[in-house]
Amino acid sequence: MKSILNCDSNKVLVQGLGRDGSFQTQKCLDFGTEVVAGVHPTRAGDNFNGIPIFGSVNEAVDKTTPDIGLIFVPAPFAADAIIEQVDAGIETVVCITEGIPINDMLKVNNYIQGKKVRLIGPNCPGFLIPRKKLKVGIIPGSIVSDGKVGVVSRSGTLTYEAIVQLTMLGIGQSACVGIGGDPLHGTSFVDVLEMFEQDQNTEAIVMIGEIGGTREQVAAEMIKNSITKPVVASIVGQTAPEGRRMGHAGAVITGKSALASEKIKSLKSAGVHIADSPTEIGLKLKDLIKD
Amino acid sequence: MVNLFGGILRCEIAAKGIIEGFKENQKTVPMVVVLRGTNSEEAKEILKNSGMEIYFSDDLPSAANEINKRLGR
Repeated sequence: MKSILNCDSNKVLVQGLGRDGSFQTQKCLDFGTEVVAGVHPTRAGDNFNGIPIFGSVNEAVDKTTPDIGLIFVPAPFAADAIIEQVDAGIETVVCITEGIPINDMLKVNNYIQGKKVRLIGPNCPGFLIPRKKLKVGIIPGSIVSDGKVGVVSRSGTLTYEAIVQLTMLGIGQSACVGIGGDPLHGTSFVDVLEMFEQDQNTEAIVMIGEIGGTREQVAAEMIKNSITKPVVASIVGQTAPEGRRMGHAGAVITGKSALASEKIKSLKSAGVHIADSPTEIGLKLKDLIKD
Repeated sequence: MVNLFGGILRCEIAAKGIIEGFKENQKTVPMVVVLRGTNSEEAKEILKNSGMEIYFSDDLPSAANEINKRLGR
């Protein structure tokens, strides 16, 4: 599967142009993103600031050949939107929507198994590449700066927190990728870490994890074996009570491996530099690249 | 203490919500507020003009300091 970081063509189709979808699409345009098509069930033939709106993804793909699909469709219909984009042949699908029923995501994950598609999200802020003026999602364009640090995170807000700290310290980003806070998701830490490892514009990596699941441990194992670039990680939820969902559907301590302390232990043993608090991510990375 | 980094949630909508909430409950408390991201500047203006006792900070460590200062610690 191809990396999202080094595509020559980055034409974006946006599905779901309601209040938030429209607002955020305008922010993507303002950043410089090439949005070529909108899809909305009742607004076919209309346009969004000159961008044509189609009634179906298939028609939009036929007419505008987008490379990336961005989804703002409400939760009850978002899984269908993902499948519609995959069926239309879009190879990178970014789903921002929060609250997709887990049963729907089970179907999506089964459906895309073995297909040539990279799904990012759902329940994620999308990705942003400052160098390419490419913003696919909701990461605020005002806080990013171009540079050499790759940021990957399960949490939207903490992605922004890390980015703004880096930018304030004069450290730019090669790419910022939010993989989302749901228990079932497409692209995972390991996929993005692999992309950062291969990416010649990335020299160091920031990874932000949280309680729940074992994605951070899988990432730690992978970092130990195949990541040569320095990694700073922060794991949030260190004081979270067991069994309580902390904002994200996937952020819940269900057993020992879901604890922040276990994830930190795994990452430390993989040689990852831990920022004890998310407010220290920027400084930790600055120290690291100084050496 | 309010910390909001607006992504899909626009800060100005949250700011209006805060004001509405206090109005409904007919009371107010001093607040330390960190607003960043989508429409944060508009949100700050709205809160500044609300007449409530609000102290703005640029980031979390300075917000923590501000709270300590206000509590006389």
